[in-house]
Amino acid sequence: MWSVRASALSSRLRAEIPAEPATFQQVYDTHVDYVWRTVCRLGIRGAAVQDVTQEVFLVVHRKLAEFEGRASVKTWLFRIARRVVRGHRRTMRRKDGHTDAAADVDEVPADVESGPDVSAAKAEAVRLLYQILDTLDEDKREVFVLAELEQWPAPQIAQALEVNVNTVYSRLRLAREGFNLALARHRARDHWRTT
Amino acid sequence: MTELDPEAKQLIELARDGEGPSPQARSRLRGALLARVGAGVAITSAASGTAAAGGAAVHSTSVLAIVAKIGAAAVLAGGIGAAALAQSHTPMPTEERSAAPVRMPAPLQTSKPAHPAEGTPAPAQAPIPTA
Repeated sequence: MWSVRASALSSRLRAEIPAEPATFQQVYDTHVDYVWRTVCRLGIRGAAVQDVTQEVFLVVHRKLAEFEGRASVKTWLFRIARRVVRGHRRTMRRKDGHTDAAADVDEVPADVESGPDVSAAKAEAVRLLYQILDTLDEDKREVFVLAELEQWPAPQIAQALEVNVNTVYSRLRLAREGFNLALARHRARDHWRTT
Repeated sequence: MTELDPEAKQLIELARDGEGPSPQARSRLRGALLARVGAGVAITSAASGTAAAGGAAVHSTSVLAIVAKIGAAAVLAGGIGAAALAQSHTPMPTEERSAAPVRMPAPLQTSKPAHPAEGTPAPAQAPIPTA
């Protein structure tokens, strides 16, 4: 399983990007956390996170030989994750309007190095982040995730989403406004509750 | 361009540290993936194994058939040769030679009658195709 070689990786790619992984195992080991995070950030929750991440890697396993290296592995993985997430969401919508459960404890790893307080604070931050991301629509959310959380430059985001760079900037502006507003609302509610 | 509020940036920084699968989730994912992808590999191996076995069977069958044919041809040639040799080395009297039965090879067993007269009339002979 783990030794499927990306035989179609061109010699050009091998020469130019020697650090790029060539086997499924390498892709999996290097990027499993990134794919998991991306799946969560794109709105998948609970037990479905594992299913969707698994589905992404099944696609990777099937398509790795076709990967030509025109984009980076991360960009390629994001495209796959995005398609799988959208497909999963469509399937869920078709089934009795089911929405994924709230964040599972497994989505937020226990931080054994920091103390329990820091760990709880991080877990709370992750929950709040996902909650606010849920308020953004799909297109803006994707741009926001790539720009603010992954820190990708606009041209790479444009390539991953197959849109114009100006579209990326426009969506990012709206996404930031939406994010600021949602966080302010949350803080206001929180403040009202505690007073 | 609108910037993120400092509070939003702080939230993102904190959340970024806390994201990712737990060790248990990572282990479950790996196991589940191994089961799915490993099964695929097993199926592929089984399919190719069956094909290889089938190929080997066909191969061995054809080899056996060829060996049998060669053996039969050798026995037949040997028999004919021996008979010819025996006939040439043991001269028989003229009367006996004329009365000696002519040994004919056994006719091949076919579903068609040996003689056209015994069954349906003989069909018109098809022209022999020229190369």
